[in-house]
Amino acid sequence: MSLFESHRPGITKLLILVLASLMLMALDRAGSNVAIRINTGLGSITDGISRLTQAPSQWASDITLFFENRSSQVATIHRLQEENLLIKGQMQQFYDLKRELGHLKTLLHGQTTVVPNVLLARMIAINDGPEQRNFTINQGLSDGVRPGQPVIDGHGIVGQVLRSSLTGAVVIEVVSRKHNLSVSLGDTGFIGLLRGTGTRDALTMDRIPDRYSVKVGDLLTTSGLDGVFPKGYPVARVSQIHDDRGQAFINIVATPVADLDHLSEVLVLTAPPDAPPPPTQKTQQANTVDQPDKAMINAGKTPPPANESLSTPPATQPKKPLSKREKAHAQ
Amino acid sequence: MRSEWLAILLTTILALVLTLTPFGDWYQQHAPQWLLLTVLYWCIHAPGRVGLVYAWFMGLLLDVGTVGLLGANALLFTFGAALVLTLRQMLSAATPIQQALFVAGLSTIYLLFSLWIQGGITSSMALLGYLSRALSNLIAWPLITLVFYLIRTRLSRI
Repeated sequence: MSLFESHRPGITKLLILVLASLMLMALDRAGSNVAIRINTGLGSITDGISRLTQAPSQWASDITLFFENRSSQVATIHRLQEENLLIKGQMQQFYDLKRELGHLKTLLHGQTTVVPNVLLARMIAINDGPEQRNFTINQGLSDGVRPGQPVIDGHGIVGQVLRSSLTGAVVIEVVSRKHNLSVSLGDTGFIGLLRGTGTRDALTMDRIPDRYSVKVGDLLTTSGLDGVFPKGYPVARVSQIHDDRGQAFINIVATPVADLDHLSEVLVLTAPPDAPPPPTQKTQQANTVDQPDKAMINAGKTPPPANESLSTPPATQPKKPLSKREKAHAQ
Repeated sequence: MRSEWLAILLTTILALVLTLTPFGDWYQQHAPQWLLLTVLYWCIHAPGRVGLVYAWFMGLLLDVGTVGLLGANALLFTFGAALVLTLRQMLSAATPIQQALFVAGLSTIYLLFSLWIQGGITSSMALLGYLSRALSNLIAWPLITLVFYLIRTRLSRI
């Protein structure tokens, strides 16, 4: 044993490592490419470990499914068949509507809506911090998952992809304190920012002019202005209304419609539809980092005026910034 | 001597798995900081093999795994390891209970600094819940000392 040898740490080594850590913190705050690359590289290791540790519990659930009662299996199959038929019936109408809408949009903007590609992903780990809710999914860069893509479940918006690596991706939930998204409030047409609070079941929206009539139970849907979330997805329902006396504003608290407590599988929208062209790196960051006003300003500018897009050739305009952004994230 | 490297690798992977596996909300909030304890253990027992760079890298891995600010845990891991390496002769002569108390104190300071860097807690009750991890570390240290000792002796016999 080396009890009597002194292994004092070298002061130079300590200084270099401390400087390296401080540099990394600064780079991460600034959102530099180096930090993204380190996150992607080392993230592949940690996500890989999560994936491996999750595998046995997956086998266990497969085995229990195998031994499940036969009659209950048959009941499940029947239920699913009925559901499938219903959904198919509704989809027939949907295709027709989609064609019509595409036609109208071509006339209006010179561009058609793309129906999103959805990717089924399984949740493999939870990494909550204080006031921050994240989880890891088992689909990564190789499956086309990129940072900034919206994540939904069967009921509504869950969050967006924060970081993607070779073996998985980390999703930040809408209820995280750092998360903001642009929503439109019920039928009022008011558009504002919905902020996470860090608790499981509360989102807040402040300073709504009190001339808008808001009721408990009103649905908040994505407005599409932030360029990350496509328009019209349900996000939350109003649960409380705080009326500040003597002020012309009301504040509301809303509960997310997505079943955040019992998530096991989620859908990633890998090609967000009718996202207005820009999402430059800046607007996208402003969306997750705590700079709500910046996001609003940038988001307000995004939809191009109708006459302008009519005069320019259609397809090229939205493509360019998107590919640039994807390149930036792929690094 | 290769067995000691093997033991270090094995215990590090074990600590990573214990950190990254989701065992539920309660575990997530109050579990011991397995990775930190592992790093401190090896700094006390094999200072010739692991050192500051190992601690720094493990901290970075934890940062990435928990999606925190990159470099925050790396910085605190480095400082923790440096302190333990400096006081090593005193610590290895101490009883396991004294060691555990030292580790708990160190991790309390660690948690408070981590909170200071990353921010995010608003109520004092949440703060107490957050600091409960130091208590878990206190309980987990003797356990880790025992299990790692067993792993080391088994591997050295091979």
